[in-house]
Amino acid sequence: MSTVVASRELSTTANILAGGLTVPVPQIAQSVALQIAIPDFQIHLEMPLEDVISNMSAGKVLLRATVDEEVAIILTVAGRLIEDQFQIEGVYFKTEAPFESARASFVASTLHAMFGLSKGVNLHVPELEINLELEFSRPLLDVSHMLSRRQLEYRIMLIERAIGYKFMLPSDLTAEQVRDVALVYHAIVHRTFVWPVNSIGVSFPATNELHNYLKAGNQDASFTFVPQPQRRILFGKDILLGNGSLTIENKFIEDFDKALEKLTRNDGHEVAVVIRSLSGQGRYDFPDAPRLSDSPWEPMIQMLIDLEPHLDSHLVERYHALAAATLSGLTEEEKAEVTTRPEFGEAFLIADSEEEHS
Amino acid sequence: MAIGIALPETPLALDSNVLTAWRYQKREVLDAIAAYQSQLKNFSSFNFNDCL
Repeated sequence: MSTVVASRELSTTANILAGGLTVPVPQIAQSVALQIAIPDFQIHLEMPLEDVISNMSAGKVLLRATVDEEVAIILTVAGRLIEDQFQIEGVYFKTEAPFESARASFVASTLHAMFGLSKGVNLHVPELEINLELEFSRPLLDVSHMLSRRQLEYRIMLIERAIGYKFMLPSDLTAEQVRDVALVYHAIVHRTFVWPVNSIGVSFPATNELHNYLKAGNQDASFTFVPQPQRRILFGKDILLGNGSLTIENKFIEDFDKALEKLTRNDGHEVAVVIRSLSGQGRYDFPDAPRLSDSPWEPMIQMLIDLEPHLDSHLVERYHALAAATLSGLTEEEKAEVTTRPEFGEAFLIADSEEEHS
Repeated sequence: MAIGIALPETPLALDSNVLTAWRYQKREVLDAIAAYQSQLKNFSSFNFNDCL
C-alpha cells in the first residue's frame, strides 16, 4: 500500500470576484512585494515578487514570488486582450519547490488548503496596479486530503528538526512509513501515548528469572516489557529513541500455563510467548526520545503551523453545513421519514443454517 | 452511539444513528467529528446525496 505524499507542484484554479489588470502592466525597476490577504483566516502574507512576465496578446500574465528559500508561488492570470482591456478568464495558482522536502510540501499544502477553504483571497501589488479578489473553490474531500498530507509533512518536518537531519524523501510513502512517522512523532512530542496493538510475540529464554517475570506479569491487567533501547529506521536514517517500553493494556497471555511450564525447565531454550491486548491497545513510553528546542521554527513556518486548528474548524464547519443541508426545507414529517432506520424484513435475515440445509 | 475507543491512529466509523444525529446537528456528534478531524485529518468520501 502506498500514499502519494509530497508533490513538487500543487495547483489550484481561482474565479475572479473583483479587480483587474492595467494594460499594459506597468514596468518597475525596484523590488516589489506580492501581498496576499486571506480575511477568513486573518492572514496577511507579503513575499518578494521575483518575476513578472506579461504577454497579454497571448492571453497570459505570470507572477512569480518566493515564499522562502524552498517554495515559490506562481500565479498565472489568463484572459483575452480586447481593445485596451485585459478580460480575465481565470487565475491559476501553483507552488513550486526546487527539491522534494517536507518543509516545502508543508508550506504548499497549507497555502492550498487555506485558499481552498477561504471565501475570498486578495492579491495586491500596488506598484503594478494589481488588485484582484479571488475565490479558490476546491472540493472538500480535496482539502481534507491536503490537510491529511499536511499533517504528515509537518510530522516529518518536526522529526527532521528534532534529530537535526534532512530526509531524502521518496515521492510516495508506504503505509508502514506513515505509521513509523506517526510513532516517532508521538515519541518526540508526547513521549507517552496509546497505540493500536493487537498482539506481540516475543521469545523468552527458559530461565528462572524469566519464569518469575512472566508469572508476575500475569498478575496485572496490563503487561509492561522491560525498557530497552528503541530505534526506528525512517527513509534510510536510523533514529535512536532512547530507552523505551511498551505496555499491553487489557493483556491476555496465550497458552500461559504451557509457556510457564516451558520456562520452568530453566535450560535456556527459546520459548515463544504471545501477549494479546483484548482492547487492541498498548502504551508506549519514550522518556529519552529526541527533543525539540524551545523555538524550533522561523516566524513564517510557525505562523503556518499555528493555522492548523483554524484549517480544521473551517473544514469541519463546511462538512457540518453539508450534513445540515440534507434536512433543510423539509417538514418534521419528511425529516422523520428520511432519517428513520430502514427495516429490511425477513428477506435480509441470516437464515438458520440447519433449517437451510434440512 | 460510540462503537469503540478512539486510538491515536484509527479511522472514523459512522453508523446511521450518528449520521442522523449529524444531520440534526446534535452538539455531541458535531464536537466528536471536529475532534476526529483535529486528531486524524482523514475524512472519508461522504456522499450526502444518498441521504436526500
